[in-house]
Amino acid sequence: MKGGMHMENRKSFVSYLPGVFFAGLLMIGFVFGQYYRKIPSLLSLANPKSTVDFDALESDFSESLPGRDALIDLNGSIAKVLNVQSLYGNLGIYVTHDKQIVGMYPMTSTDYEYKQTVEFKEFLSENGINLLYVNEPTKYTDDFAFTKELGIDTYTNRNMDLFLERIGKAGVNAIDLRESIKKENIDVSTLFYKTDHHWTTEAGLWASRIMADGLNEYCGYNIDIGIFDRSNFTFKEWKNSWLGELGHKLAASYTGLDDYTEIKPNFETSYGFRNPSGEYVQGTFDNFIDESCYSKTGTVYENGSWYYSYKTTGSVNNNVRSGKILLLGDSFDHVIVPFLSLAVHKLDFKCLRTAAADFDLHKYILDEGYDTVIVAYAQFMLGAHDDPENSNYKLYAFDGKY
Amino acid sequence: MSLTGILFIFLFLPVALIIYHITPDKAKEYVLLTVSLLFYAIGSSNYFLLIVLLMVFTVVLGRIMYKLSGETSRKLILVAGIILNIGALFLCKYLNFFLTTINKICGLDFGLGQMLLPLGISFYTFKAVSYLADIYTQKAALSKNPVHDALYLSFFPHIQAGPIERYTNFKKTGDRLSAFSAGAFRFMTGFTKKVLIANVLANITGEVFGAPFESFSVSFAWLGSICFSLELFLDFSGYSDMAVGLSKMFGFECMENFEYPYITESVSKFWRRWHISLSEWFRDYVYIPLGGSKNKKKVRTYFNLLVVWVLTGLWHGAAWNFVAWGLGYFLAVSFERVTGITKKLRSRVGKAVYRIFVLLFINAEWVLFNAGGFKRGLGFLKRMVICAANRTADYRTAFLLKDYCFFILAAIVLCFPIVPAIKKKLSGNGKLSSVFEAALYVIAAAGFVLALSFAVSGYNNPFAYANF
Repeated sequence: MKGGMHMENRKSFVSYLPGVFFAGLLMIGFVFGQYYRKIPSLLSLANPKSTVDFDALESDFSESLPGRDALIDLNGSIAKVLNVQSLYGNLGIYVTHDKQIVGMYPMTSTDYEYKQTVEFKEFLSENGINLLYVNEPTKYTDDFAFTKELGIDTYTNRNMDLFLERIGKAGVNAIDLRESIKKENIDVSTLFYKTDHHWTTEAGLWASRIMADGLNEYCGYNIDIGIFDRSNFTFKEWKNSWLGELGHKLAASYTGLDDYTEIKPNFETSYGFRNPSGEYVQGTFDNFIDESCYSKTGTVYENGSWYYSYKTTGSVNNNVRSGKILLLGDSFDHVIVPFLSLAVHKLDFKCLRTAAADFDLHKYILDEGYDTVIVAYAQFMLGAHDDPENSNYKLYAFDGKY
Repeated sequence: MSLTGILFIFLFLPVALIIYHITPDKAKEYVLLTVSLLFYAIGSSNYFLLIVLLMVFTVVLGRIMYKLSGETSRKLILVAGIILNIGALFLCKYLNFFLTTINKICGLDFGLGQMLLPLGISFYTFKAVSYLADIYTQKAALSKNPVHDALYLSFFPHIQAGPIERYTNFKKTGDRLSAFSAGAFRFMTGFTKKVLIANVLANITGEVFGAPFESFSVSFAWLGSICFSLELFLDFSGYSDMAVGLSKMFGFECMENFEYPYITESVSKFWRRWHISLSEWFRDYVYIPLGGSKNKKKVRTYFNLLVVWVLTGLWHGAAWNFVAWGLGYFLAVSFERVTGITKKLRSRVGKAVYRIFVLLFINAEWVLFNAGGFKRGLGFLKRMVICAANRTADYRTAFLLKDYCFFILAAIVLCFPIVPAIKKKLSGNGKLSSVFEAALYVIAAAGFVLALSFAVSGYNNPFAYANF
């Protein structure tokens, strides 16, 4: 009888465990996440005229969930243990066997980009201005290697091959950095952060040398490319210091963290930096770098991207007499503009992604008196115009029409 | 608002539970009705007024009918109530389909208004019709308080995707504490099935069903279709588990909606295991009123079956592929009736072979269901049997199998009644039974935390059945 009662008690105690656990878990979010403060936001959704976006609110709630980072890391650990490479394939990102986060890109005709580039070249030629197209590679230079590992067709390299062939035939001078990678026998993955789609500062320094060489070859410049020798720079490295944009979508526990290297010239520099009102403020190379980006105050998920510590501010290099260049680029050029500016007198940067609807690129180029325009885009920008929703839709709209 | 959303789990649910459980018993249903209406307003604010008006009219009509004794007036009220609710469903869900069909047939050009579907309108309508019909047939004894009726119609755990509970079953549970705990267990189990398994499998099915299937391989098509069958089961049964769990947490009974449907012996029995509340609704409110199978002429029985299956198809969606999907089931169920095949098969091998055939049939039906059109569905089915040379797609199949093998295997395991079988085996042994129960709770808790990690990492999709 006693034993039976004991058993009964134990059974009832066990049967309450899920309730205790669940209620406890709910309270963690509700009390420690201070979700009770957000009741008005939730109630506002009941109003048909409410402008509150449900998904944004859900995302905001998710961000402030106590233990969120631990949950994300748990998620990454599961993916790692199970070796799932395409868990986030629905976001278009995949993880290679060496834990590089990569993307796939569909086939594109290149017609729009080709037409825009050739017409832009004609406009520049008519006005005696050089055009140099620079292809900035993505994390893989062989589409088939990607397909072989992940079983998905990607076309980014084939798209670019086609595009470069077409603009080459139309007389546009181009540098294909993939060729330089092959020539110098570089492992392309070493040029990139594994948790970010961007390339490293070292890759930026390397690419700037090749672009300077291209300016000499195609645009009549006379740059001493020895200025880009590693011996002219100091390197400061932070090991396992930050998580890139793609890493934020996955988890640090899945791919690990990235190292970061800050590179500065070890010789004296003198610049005039163009501020938003168009005036120039004097400074040095250090002004290109915003070291506040190297924040370690929060977790790797809370901290921003270290990549953007290098700025694309327009500048006049007081130590160089010649060269007035406009670089039309994207975020890859954050680590190009500062280094390339060391070799030319004036270097301005424009990203057509963020250009105002009434911005007239042709007029701007003529007004500023540039002698050379460099178009330097990441390879996967090709085809962005196929999708009007793509944030890079306007990048090749050199005539302002898109 | 999705039941798997962080907003629901960590804000709406705790607030609702706290307010509900601290409210005196007398006022509990008022609180729960308010909570349910708030849930609807948050999830479908544009249609909140419509659903409230429908609900008020339905309850008023039901109450009047309950008090009346004259058969004719009762019938008139029943018809009025059904027309009101089915009419609203038709306007919201089927008008576009109807006009498109008329336009095509008659070469007309009626303007089509684009309407978003009110949240859970199909589930609500079926509950409203069953409420009115049960009052008419005097199966339902109404509660004294009409708030109970309104709560039955709007109860938030059921409004999004069922089960289509009956009024007579909508009762309070006994021991509240143990019901809460049992509810928490069911909720966590359902959440895990949905977020940890179904949502991940949706990665594969999304890719396969979204691909131009003219070019993909047979293996790719099979992988996609099987994963969809698994995904839909875990998605919908996961939701049902959560609905059962929530009901229990708020002290209400809730019917079971699934009973391991993929271990079925026949197509007919599949529908006694899958979306049970819908099958039973059609049986009780369409098939039997039409005469069911007790007809002198056999052809009448098949006509009744045809009506039921066409309506079942249309209930799932206002499109021809859903009609074809329903007709497919009509043909299969009729075949089983005509031939009596399930009774004739006596050998184990024969039964096993037929079970495989049934599963293949159900799998093919889900392809029609999910292909986004009848022609597309047929094209997909064709690709499942006729090979198109494409090496990459085959490699992709192998890659997906390798990448998602854990999730696919877990999904397959969850299709079998392993837990009930073990429980049955241990039922005589109290100690082992308790240990097993505790182990289950630990697994459910761990699964819930893992699933939460997926939800927080942006791995959250709406329920497949939330669109009906």
